[in-house]
Amino acid sequence: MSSHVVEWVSVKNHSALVALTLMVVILATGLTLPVFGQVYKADSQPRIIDITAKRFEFTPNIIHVNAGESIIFRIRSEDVTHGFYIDGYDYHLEIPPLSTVEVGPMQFNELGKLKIRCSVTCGPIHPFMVAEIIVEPNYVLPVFLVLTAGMFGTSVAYIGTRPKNRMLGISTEKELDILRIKVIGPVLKKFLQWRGSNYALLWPNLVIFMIVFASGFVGNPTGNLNFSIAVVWILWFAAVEFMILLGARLWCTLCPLPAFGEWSTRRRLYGVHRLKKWFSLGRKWPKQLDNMWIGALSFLGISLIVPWLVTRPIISGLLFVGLVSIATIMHLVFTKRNFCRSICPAGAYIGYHSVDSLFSVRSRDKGTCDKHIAKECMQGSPNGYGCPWLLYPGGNNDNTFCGQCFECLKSCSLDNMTLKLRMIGKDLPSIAAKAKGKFDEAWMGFIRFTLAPLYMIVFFGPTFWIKDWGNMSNVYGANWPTIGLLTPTPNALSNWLGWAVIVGGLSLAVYPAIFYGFSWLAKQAVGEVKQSAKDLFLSFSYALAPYGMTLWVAFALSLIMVNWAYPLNALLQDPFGYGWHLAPIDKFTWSPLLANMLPYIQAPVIFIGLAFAVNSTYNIGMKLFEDHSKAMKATIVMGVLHFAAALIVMFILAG
Amino acid sequence: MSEVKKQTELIENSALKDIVEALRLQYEGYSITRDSIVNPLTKVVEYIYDAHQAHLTNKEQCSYAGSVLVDATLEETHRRFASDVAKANKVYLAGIKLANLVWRRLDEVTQTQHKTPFATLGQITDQIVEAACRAML
Repeated sequence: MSSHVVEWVSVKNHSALVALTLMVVILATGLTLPVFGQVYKADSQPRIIDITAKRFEFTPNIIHVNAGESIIFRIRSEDVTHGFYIDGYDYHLEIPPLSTVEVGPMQFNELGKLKIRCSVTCGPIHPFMVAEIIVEPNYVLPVFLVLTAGMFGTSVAYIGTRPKNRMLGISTEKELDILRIKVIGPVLKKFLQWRGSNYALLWPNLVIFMIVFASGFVGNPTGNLNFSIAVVWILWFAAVEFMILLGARLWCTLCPLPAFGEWSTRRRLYGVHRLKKWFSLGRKWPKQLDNMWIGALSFLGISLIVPWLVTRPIISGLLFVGLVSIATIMHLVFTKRNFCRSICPAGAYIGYHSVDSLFSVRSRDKGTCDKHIAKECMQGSPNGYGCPWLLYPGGNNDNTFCGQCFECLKSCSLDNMTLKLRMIGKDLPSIAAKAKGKFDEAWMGFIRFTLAPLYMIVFFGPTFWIKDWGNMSNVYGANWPTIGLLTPTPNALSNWLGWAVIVGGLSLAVYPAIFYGFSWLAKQAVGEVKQSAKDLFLSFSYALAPYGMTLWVAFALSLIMVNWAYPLNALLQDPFGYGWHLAPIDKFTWSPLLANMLPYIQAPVIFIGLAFAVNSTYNIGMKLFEDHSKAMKATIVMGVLHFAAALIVMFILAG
Repeated sequence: MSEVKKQTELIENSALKDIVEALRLQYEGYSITRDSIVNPLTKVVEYIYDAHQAHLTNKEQCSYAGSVLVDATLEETHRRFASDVAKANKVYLAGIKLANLVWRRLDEVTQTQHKTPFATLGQITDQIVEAACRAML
């Protein structure tokens, strides 16, 4: 095992070692920046800052204070009870309706940006009622910008050392056969080859989904008090980003959405049906639709209503009923997992980023699979079904559409399928090089990449109007009996259209157009190559898979670290938000975890993403041109765009 | 002897030869018993009978029956996996041949008798299994 590790990470080139060491220094600097803070002397006369709180904004939404300055906040609630919480300051202030509360004098010694959050549930958008305190001089932003530039520079310097088949110093050629690791391997293999493994993983999740349905329809109309919102849109939404990184489509293994359809089609809850006779019309899914377009656009569609979706239980309830119905109908018509491949919005983005996961289901020896006439992984055997995802698992080199149902591990009579641990970006160059015509995956990348910073702004930024436009200015939560409260006014609808144009325009047109422009420049820089600018555009877009993944991990960190108490309370105490105390423990008090440290954790994650993007672009370039100098030139051009994107995110985090 | 009958016998002989050879390879190093021959072959025949009765397609089902034979032979030797792709292929192809043979017989019977071919199935099974046992034991 240790020799494996040495083989994977050995860097023989000294320049590469220096570049990689500098990267580590940059990451460490980002992480430890708050340590360099100092205690400032307080002024004698406190300054009073008046803040008004109303659903769901603080005014002013950005407050500048000087380090060490003595401040008294005088907060007035203009409607319902609000809370006042400043990241890193462990007190919760309650402001009753139409009254004023003072807090202070207090002084801020940490430079940079701190968030003010509402700490008392005041309505559906409550978890995202945010204002900002900028403690001047805000050295954090320039330091972050310099570190970003440093990361870009060292990444370019690193690829200048001609790293072959490596991602940030780690070999992308090596793989670890997880099922052959001592002790863990055999146990895991036995479990996965057991027919009940899928059910053991799925059933608890199915129970959770039933509660999601029920609470979505009849639970508390306020989102963060309702299981369907707290568990799905806080816990799951954050967890799935980490699952992609560590386990690729692990979520698809657990997902109950297609279960009813699959069980009906197979006419089995458990075990393999003896006859290969499906309860389905067995129609063929149209080839034109066998791609990621519908999934990508439905993810975008969901994002257009995301302020409602993640705060109104009934919207979530209806969405899940809709998805389960579509999945079931599609199984009954088309037999296999066409819903998961082509329709599911979560499936689309999980699949897109899964190409860069550390995890994969692969054959041990492709030669054996090629020689094996039976191809049980496709046609099935008495021990397992043929791949429901319509792949040939034995020859598969792409995580995008591998749903990790592990049927191939069960059906293969040669024990040639296994789980592999590998470095991020292993399959990316070969997938990207064959990207001709795969506009669907490119646009999935653009949508995901654009929406991550947009979500950061909408959900954790202080700008109220953008939340309000997306929220259609609605202050009510809603379940099934109160769904009528969501009827939008004409003015709110026109605002929402503006929001839809911003979200849709940025992800579908503006960013892709900029990306094409840079691809065209890359083509000019590279000179005579057989690939057109369009080919480079499609191929290089795959560098957004690892980069986008890190942006979403950064977003997920703020989502879960701030709001962890809501899903825990919904899971353990009060799923319907009726005021229950199911577990014999106290309810968790909303109290963000290391919230003042968030930018210093998120920024290094983005730095790593930037380095991944640069290295991935280079690896793709090498695959396309087979020439270091050309790949280098293309990487520098495309890298400038990735660098610019990272700078924008730094402004969001610390500006 | 009619041309059709000659051809059928030829196919049957060749299928039987393949089955015997495949089973011998698969059971190399293991003791061959009557059960270890009868059980896998019966499983294939029964599977094809059920598939035929359910009006499923010949090609897909016969191909799957190959895997049924592989699995059944592994089960007889208390193994979960085959050790050798060449051996697995032989057993698989033999299974397909056997399945095709049974399918054709069932087709003939249903076309001529218009009734359940269960009795004929018994005869087919007996013939094949006995022949295989004679050749192997």
